[in-house]
Amino acid sequence: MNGGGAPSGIGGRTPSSSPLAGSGRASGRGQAHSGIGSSVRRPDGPAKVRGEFSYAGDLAAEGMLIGDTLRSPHPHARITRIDLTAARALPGVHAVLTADDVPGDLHVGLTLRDEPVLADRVVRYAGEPVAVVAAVDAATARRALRAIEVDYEPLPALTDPELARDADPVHPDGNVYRHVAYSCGDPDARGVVTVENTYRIGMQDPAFLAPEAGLAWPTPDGGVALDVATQWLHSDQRQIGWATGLPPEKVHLRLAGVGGAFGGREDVTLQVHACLLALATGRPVKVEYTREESFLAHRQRHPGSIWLRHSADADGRIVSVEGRVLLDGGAYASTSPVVITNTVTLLQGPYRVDNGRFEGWSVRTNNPSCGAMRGFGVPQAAFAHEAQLDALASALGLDPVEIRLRNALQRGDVATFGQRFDAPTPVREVIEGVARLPLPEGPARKAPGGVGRSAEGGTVRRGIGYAVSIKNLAFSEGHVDESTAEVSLCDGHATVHTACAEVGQGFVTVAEQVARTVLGASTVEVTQPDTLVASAGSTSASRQTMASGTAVHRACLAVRDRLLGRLARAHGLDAAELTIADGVVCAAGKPLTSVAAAAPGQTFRATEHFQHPDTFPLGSPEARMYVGFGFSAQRAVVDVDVELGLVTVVQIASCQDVGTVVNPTQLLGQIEGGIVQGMGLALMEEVVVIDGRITNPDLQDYLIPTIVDAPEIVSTYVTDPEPGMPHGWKGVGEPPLVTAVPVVAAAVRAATGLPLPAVPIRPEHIALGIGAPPTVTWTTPRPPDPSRPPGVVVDEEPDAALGTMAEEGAPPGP
Amino acid sequence: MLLAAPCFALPETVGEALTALADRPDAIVVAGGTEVMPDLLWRNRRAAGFVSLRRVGALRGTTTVGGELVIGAGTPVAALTGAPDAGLRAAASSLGTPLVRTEATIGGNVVSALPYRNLLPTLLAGGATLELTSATGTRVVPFDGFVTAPGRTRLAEDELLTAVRLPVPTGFADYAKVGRRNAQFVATVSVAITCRDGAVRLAFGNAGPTPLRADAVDTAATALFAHRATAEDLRAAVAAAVDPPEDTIASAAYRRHALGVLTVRLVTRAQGAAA
Amino acid sequence: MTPDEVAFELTVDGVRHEVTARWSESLLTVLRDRLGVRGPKTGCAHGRCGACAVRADLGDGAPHVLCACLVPAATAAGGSVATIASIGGPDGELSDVQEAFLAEGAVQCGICTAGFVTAATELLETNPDPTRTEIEAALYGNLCRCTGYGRIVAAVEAAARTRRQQEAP
Ligand SMILES: Cc1cc2nc3c(=O)[nH]c(=O)nc-3n(C[C@H](O)[C@H](O)[C@H](O)COP(=O)(O)OP(=O)(O)OC[C@H]3O[C@@H](n4cnc5c(N)ncnc54)[C@H](O)[C@@H]3O)c2cc1C
Ligand code: FES
Ligand code: FES
Repeated sequence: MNGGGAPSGIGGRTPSSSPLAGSGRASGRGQAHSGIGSSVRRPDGPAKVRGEFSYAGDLAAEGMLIGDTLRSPHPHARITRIDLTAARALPGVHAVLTADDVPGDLHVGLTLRDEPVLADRVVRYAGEPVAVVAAVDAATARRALRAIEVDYEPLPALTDPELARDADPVHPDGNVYRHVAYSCGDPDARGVVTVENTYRIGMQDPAFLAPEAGLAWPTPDGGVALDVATQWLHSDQRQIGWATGLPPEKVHLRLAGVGGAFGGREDVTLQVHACLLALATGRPVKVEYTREESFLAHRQRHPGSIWLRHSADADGRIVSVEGRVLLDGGAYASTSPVVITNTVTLLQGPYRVDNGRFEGWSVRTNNPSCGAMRGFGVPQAAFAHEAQLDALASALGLDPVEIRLRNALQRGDVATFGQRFDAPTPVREVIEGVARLPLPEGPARKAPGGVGRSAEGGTVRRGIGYAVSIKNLAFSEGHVDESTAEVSLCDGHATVHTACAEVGQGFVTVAEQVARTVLGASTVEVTQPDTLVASAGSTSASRQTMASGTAVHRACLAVRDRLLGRLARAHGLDAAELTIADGVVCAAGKPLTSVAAAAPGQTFRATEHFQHPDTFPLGSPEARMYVGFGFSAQRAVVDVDVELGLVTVVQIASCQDVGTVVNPTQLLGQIEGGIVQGMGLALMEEVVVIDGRITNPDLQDYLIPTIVDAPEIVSTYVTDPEPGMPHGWKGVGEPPLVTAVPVVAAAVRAATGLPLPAVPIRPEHIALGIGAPPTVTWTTPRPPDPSRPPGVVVDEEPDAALGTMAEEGAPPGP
Repeated sequence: MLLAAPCFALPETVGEALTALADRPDAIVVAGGTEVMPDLLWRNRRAAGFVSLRRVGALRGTTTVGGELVIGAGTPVAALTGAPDAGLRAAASSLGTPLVRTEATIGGNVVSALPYRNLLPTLLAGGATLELTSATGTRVVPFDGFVTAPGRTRLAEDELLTAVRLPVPTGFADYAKVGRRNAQFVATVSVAITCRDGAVRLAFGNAGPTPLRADAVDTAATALFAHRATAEDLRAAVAAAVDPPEDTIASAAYRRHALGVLTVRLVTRAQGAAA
Repeated sequence: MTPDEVAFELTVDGVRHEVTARWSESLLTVLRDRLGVRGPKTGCAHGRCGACAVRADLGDGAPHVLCACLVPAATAAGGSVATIASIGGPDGELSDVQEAFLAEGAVQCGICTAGFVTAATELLETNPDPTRTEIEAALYGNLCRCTGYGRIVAAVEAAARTRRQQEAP
């Protein structure tokens, strides 16, 4: 089976691109087998299956030194003394650096520049880098770390986010990253029933399988180069520039092979350190984290608590929603000021809500810093709003599917945050799509407890749950979302160059498909991303097909026009009559020449930029916070051993709004991978932080799903093309995860009858019945007060610090 | 090939191994390494050299001698997934991962002496004895009492565990463990059972600082097996006998509860097998 | 050679090497950092992820697949190791398992792939027609964070199918 494998070739769990939505159009019609809509293989695949693909951890250079990091053992302490004498005197040690050795600006950060590259007299989380060393080998580097003498005066650690707002500031910038508060309509409107509860979400680690690594070396221009596994080359470049004092043109980054990212590589970790060490030693320096360091160094998903109160009429229609969110951002800002708006504004879920009041804080503590992780604040919201919908349904005696259909957002509706849903909004369609999928047949293949064989002799109960989600796609609130592509074509061979980080998601395949489809290229090379081309933004927010894919598409169109223009002149034809299909140029439908032979030896080039229409902060008159939205519905079937509290997820059925199917196999990979990560958060993944310290920084006690845990996944799609996007494509990477968290919880609730207001659900929550049920109150209906002003009312100005990056012209957070 | 370095020995006989150990007082014994290597990585343990048992052929394999299974201490857990003892088989089959089981040895599991290790409850329930060998000879001690605290045993500095002996299985035996995912997990708690001629014997993993069993539990279980007592009675006996840890993986209350549940289930299975 | 080092011979993918390493070094570290054999990957270095899986003959019985990060390197003295580079033909020709991983989309970031291909190849050697349950039982020592495993199972099933078809008369 080759690249052209039709969707039906992929076993039984095949994506169908059948347009469930009325306006859907068939994808891939008339395309070459290698073009958009077909399961083209990954161009980097052969090297990967052979074990020859080079990852950041595989980097090496002649004369290279090994860098290592001394980290704070305390969550909060003053550094009273650092003595580097012994470490510097060790043979084989080439550099030992602390904050005093940072030539440029000490502080970096994705949104607020509040994080010292190396601790500045105070450490604010356990694991914060205090010093870095470069030595001839790893053992010597470790010895040097041990030889560094640091005296700490421990300070009281702020580890309870509930106390952060009132506690003494643990950073000069204060303890609140951002406070968001707004209302719409009349939040005090009531139907016949209200349900309210407080939901808790644990800290999830991206746990990409290749720990952080990079290799830096000084360059002849007095600058520095870095090959690194990252999600965002230009953001790293800027922050390295700040710390080294080098101008951007002297900081040269290239993408090294990335072994997964999921948000965890959006902030810098070792990037700046490696460059500082290379500059200090004049030698190449490699830094590679252990798994334990990886847990300490990168950002986790925000843990948080969410209080929600829904009021509905007797038909289950939502009358009002009130919500309050507290996210623990940990010691430094990272993207905390942005994540909180996602959580707060999407508390409404994919449902129409005319009346609401929402508030949220992301706060600073001395816990590990949190930032981007796939879903970016929305899994937290989805877990809470979906539990509420089920609680409403149960109070009113409604079917969970029915209550969701009754409230489903439609195109034209206005969000609580004022934005009109002016693109396809197929919420109803994804719900109906998933409800139609067949339930698993026959006896369960696996019992809860798995290889432990604990279920035999006990009773297992089955539960079925539904969940639907809304996820904003691309950057938001005025953070510019853009990318640039350079494309060239010579003798049928296309070269595509962007700064888009391939982290496993398959952008390289999409870029190749676009070049084949638009240019009729017979071979395509997607070159190593670097900072020689303009920023592609981060590989996050489900945005790269939309941003970099569209930039590549535009550049390919420009190259095609150049080629066709030249052919038209050569043959005395009208360029408008010329088309390219399957590698052949046709004039008025008749083959003229192959693309490969069209202009021997001639290279056609174009560089094109793409930028989404502007977005604006919450409460702006433009009422456009987000670029777009993706919707997803899932149904989970679980078997629960209630007495022991153990769960096996039997099946997850998914129907997702995907715009168009660009590559069926890769799409399915995103859906399945996202679902299993979401299921991990629902059932087992939790970074445990006790007194500010991570107690499970390893893959023994931080549990990610194994192949035995993975459910059967059935996936279908709604293909309603996204306006303004080539082929109508849209981001698909995050929604599967977002929906999987609430759907697994819903199914476990259905099996057990327990409220389960927290994820991950621990066995003891089930076995011992831990967790408070929602409060259900029957109310006298109170219609919305017509004198309330329409639209969004921002109750309090968002924290002024939020806009700093955008104002400085720096690239925004996602 | 016999390799010798100041910090590394790869002996081929038990005698050579004992000598190598005597020559390197700061070295530690390594069998499969699946316990030792992560411990070194995580700085849980320090050492100044290895004496590897990997090439000591005499330590590998199972024989039957005088009504006992004699399992060489160096026998990999993978080989035990087909053991004649159903309890051992079950405990071995759920140990670690397929890639770990080929290396992990029964000896390493026993000497690791951690209360949550898979094979320990099985050996306790099965009435295992251990062959401990030093330069002066071999002594045989009951497994019951061998583990004195988490990670501590009655093995002397100059001794090797050379074999584990179990009575040739006659009746029913089984093992089950509970964890937070469905494969590749450390036991939150575990229970092993044997049932011979109507007499039930149970042992618990992670129910206290060492592998644990209690006469009162066996009495209640034997009564339940014979339908002379209720599941409630047995659960109460288990709850009274165990003293499980409270940690970030589970509360002591959950462990106590789960031990009771698992125990009743294993007795139910024994009844099913007897029926 | 310093007192805390040990020297030994090791054959990797058919090539004999003289290795000098610290006594406590793992086989994985020796392969990757001392010999530059980068096919086996470091995902955790404590036996959980299987990214480092290799097939090894350590002189202690039949060759088998193991986690290179768990083996003290010198225990492999005089032994031989076959990494992912030994799977598939010369000139980059793909094995049926590699081919299936590619075709079925079982590869995303790919950091787990060498380990999965190694373990799946071993499975099909011993069980040419595995059920889904048997595939899971054989592969739960390998973690993948990207794919959710669906395409990996599909790939192993596809490889088994191809192999059976080719072997059928
Ligand atoms: C990924 C992973 C998963 C795991 N999962 C499980 C699990 O589910 N259940 C479980 O029980 N264990 C598990 N373990 C732990 C470990 O694999 C087992 O305890 C294994 O049986 C240890 O055997 P070994 O030969 O590898 O021990 P080693 O690491 O070689 O040695 C362990 C200890 O025993 C000593 N020792 C070994 N043999 C002898 C001997 N003959 N005489 C004297 N001392 C000796 C060593 O000095 C050391 O102190 C896991 C380990 C890993 C890495
Ligand atoms: S690196 Fe060896 S198992 Fe993870
Ligand atoms: S493909 Fe990324 S970990 Fe498996």
